[in-house]
Amino acid sequence: MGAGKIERIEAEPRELPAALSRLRGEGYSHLITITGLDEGDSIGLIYHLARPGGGVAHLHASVAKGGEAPSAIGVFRGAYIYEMEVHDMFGLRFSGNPHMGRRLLLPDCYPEDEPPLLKDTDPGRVREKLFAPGTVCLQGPPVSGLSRYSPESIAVPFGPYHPAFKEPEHFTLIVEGERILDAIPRIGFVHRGVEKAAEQRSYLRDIFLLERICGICSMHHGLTFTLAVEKLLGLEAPERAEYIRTLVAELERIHSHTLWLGLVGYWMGFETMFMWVLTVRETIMDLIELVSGNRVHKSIVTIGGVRRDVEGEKLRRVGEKIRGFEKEFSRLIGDILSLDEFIERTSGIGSYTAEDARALSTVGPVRRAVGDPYDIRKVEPYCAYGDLDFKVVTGDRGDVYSLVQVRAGEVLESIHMVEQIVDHMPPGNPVPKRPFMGVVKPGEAYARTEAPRGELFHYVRSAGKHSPDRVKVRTPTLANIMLAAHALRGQTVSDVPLVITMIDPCFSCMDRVLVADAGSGRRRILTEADFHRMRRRW
Amino acid sequence: MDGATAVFAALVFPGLLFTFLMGLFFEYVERKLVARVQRRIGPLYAGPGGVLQPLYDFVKLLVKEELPPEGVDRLYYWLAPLLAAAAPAYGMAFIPVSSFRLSIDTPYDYVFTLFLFSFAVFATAAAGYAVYSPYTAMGVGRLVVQYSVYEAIFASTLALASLQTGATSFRGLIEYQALHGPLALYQPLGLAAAVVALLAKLEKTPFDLPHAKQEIVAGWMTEYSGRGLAFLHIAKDMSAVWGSALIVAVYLGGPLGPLYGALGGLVDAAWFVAKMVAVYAAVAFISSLAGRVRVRGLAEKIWGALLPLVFVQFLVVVALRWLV
Amino acid sequence: MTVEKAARKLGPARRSLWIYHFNASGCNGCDIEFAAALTSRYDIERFGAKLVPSPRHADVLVVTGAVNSLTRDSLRMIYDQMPEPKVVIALGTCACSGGVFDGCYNVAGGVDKVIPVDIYVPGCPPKPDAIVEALARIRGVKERKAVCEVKRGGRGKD
Repeated sequence: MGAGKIERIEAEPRELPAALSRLRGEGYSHLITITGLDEGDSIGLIYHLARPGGGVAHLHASVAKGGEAPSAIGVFRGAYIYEMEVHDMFGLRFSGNPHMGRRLLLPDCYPEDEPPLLKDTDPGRVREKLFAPGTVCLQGPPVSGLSRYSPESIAVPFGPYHPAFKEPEHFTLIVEGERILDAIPRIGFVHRGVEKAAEQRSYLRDIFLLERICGICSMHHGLTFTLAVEKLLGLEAPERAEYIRTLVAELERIHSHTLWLGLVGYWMGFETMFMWVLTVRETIMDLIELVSGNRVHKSIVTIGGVRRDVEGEKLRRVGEKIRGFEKEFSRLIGDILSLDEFIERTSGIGSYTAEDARALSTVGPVRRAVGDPYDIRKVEPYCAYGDLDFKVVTGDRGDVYSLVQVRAGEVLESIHMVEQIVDHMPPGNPVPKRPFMGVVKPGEAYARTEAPRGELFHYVRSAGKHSPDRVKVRTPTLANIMLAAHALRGQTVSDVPLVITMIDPCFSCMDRVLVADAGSGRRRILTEADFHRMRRRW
Repeated sequence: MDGATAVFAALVFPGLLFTFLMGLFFEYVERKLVARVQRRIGPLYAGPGGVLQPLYDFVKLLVKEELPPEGVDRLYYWLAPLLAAAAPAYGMAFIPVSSFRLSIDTPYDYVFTLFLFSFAVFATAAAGYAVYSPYTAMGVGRLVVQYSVYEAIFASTLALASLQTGATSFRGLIEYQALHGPLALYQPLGLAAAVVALLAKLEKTPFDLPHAKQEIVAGWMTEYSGRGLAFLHIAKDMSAVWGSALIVAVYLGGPLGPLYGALGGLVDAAWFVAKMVAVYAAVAFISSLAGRVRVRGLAEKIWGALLPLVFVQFLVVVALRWLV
Repeated sequence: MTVEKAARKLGPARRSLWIYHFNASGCNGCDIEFAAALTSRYDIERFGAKLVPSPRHADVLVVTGAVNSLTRDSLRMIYDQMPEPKVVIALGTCACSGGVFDGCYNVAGGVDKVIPVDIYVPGCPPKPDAIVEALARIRGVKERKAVCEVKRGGRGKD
């Protein structure tokens, strides 16, 4: 199952690197994330490690508040971003991590002494400080010291802000002519504070809150959280409910992947392709609306089942329409993939190796595009995936083109899964008698699912109250973003949009609770003085 | 040709006013055509079938507030958009749109066009340079690179036309085509190369690098608003008219067609406009089905693919001269 | 009557709505629905609306998502860069009021906490039909047929 209770392996803080290295030797080669916990006097750290073939280990250590723990970057290269996150949220430092001086998710103006996820931090008070008149939170990234790259280099702020471009995040590109010397990501523009908010709402309301982490993989957030809570409750959803969940999850995957394919067209300046793909996608939006009643935030999952049944007539129409969609989609994608121009623009762009993908703990299609069949639906089947017949689509080249191939292949697999679900929907009543309003007994559990962008991980801890004690979300984009920054180096400005979007970034997911537009700041980021200096040079 | 006729040619027909109105119409044709390719409807409610949409856009920009960013070079900021719009309007004044000779007619006007070309690019580059932001800087840089790449092709195709006809004026070109039929029959490769170069000149996909919005916002136009933007927009539309008019005049026989000269030149003008619209529709259609090239691929695409074409065409032209 | 008021404010610009879209910290839901409104089934270009890449070119600012501490200053700046007359549309419940994120430590609330909003389009997210209706009313078009799928020429449902 894609969910389970947590059995901790204990360690002393100073032994952490050694313990991690031992676990890695035992096959736990994938660092899912690092969860921080407020344990009263100390901060608990849980390192969640996974085996590529299945199985999760949880290594726990307690560190004094405001203290220091050794960094794990020697064992897992990708660990630094999770350490930065814990540093932001709990004020803990990691010795040996070179990025401890910077914020990852929080704005630079965030008060130093009140890490948001400590229990005694009051969001209202923080809010007052953050939004006090006169506080300026938008600060430019470090653009001084450009000369260390080369005398001709200029810093180009790359702040996505286009609507068709889902959302904004900021990269400062150091370019020389058209060539990129370095890319400095700054995330956190979409930080809203969802993990904190989840601790203050009841379990039922949390489902709706967590769905709104992201509008594209919305259902997977609700589902993953629900799976973890059901594990804590020792509850199992009826089989029909599991099938309906799977149905909506796969429809969501199709919608997400087709949206991405359209955006690939948009990003390469091929707007006609964007329009064509999005037109085809409307069929799927209709189906999602038909099944769940909503187009974007499906809100169909609830603790112990689903919120509404999908009756025979609706199922029949789903089956009919998905077949029509399959025809349209295959024809369209066949046309696109055979365009010389498309191949030239995507093939070999943003290439990365399987080594990089593994070392940076990437997930989802990004990982599968280099031939690593890491898919939670197979590794730890959840919902109805154990009963369904599907194969994991992999690529072999690790560039934009193979990612397009992988995602297109996954859409076709998802279509077949939807057909199977329509044909084999088990009978029964999937809707619980009343919504879950109770208390969850103390404990901790995790759940992971294969969201459209890759492995989505939720950790839920209960202290026996109406609302969870801690909810931790590790979204696929956070795991993949460093790969994008890595792949940007040496590319040209023409390819930036494609390379950044190759991981199908979902920044509101990543910043969980964060969402912002860098577009605004984009042309103010260089200071007046910088302009004058550059102008003289030119 | 007296002064009054020249002024009329420059300001009314086929110069400024005609070019302006055609420019608006061209934008409408393009938007509708692209929309249809993308399975949309396009502008619909502005005038019959939305035909007034570009005019509404222009008028709106004229009456909007103008917000020049701090630290602009005032002179260039005001002057450049006007120059950019003036270049194609002036260029059109030389084009023989109708047998009713209203265009400015000089012995070397065809050669003069080449100068106007570079002048138009200079005006655009100046517009970008007037404001200094990273996007305008990159936009202007790309513009100049692109210009240097396509201009070689455009100039050599025009030279080939001159080589075959021995003409240095539009009058000479049209007279040659009246005798021997449209030049497109002899120089199909040259025509193809010229159309691709036109795509690049008009900054249409796949050659819209200088204002690639996904990469560098609006390129050299990023910081313009209000009137300046209105003129830059109309300059683009008018360049489209000018560019198509050149191709029509050089390769497609200009105003020649059945009933040439009837109704005091009205029929010729109708022929010319119809051919122009056809050329531009073809350009817009190609553009709507293409993605943007990468900067590195630009020279490769244009030179690598087109220079051989132009060279073969050159051999054909030389052979023709030798034979005839 | 706020929509009609906004239309009067825009004057000639209401016939040519150039839109700049700003994500103030939304979840993408409103953004993808707004993107859907651009595509063939809804096609807001019918009303002369188009997306522009720079706020200096824009007449309408469409904001999605609640405003957080980092976007607050950006939003102000973008708004100031837009030439008059201009109209702000708060798209989605979060942009209207802060929605489900109201009270979070990094969230200021709705867009109107930072800049004046002319039109509120609530919904989580609003369907593209709602976006089309808002624009049609600004444009003063009576026919409010939201869905306009082109059936001719092209793939699929012919």
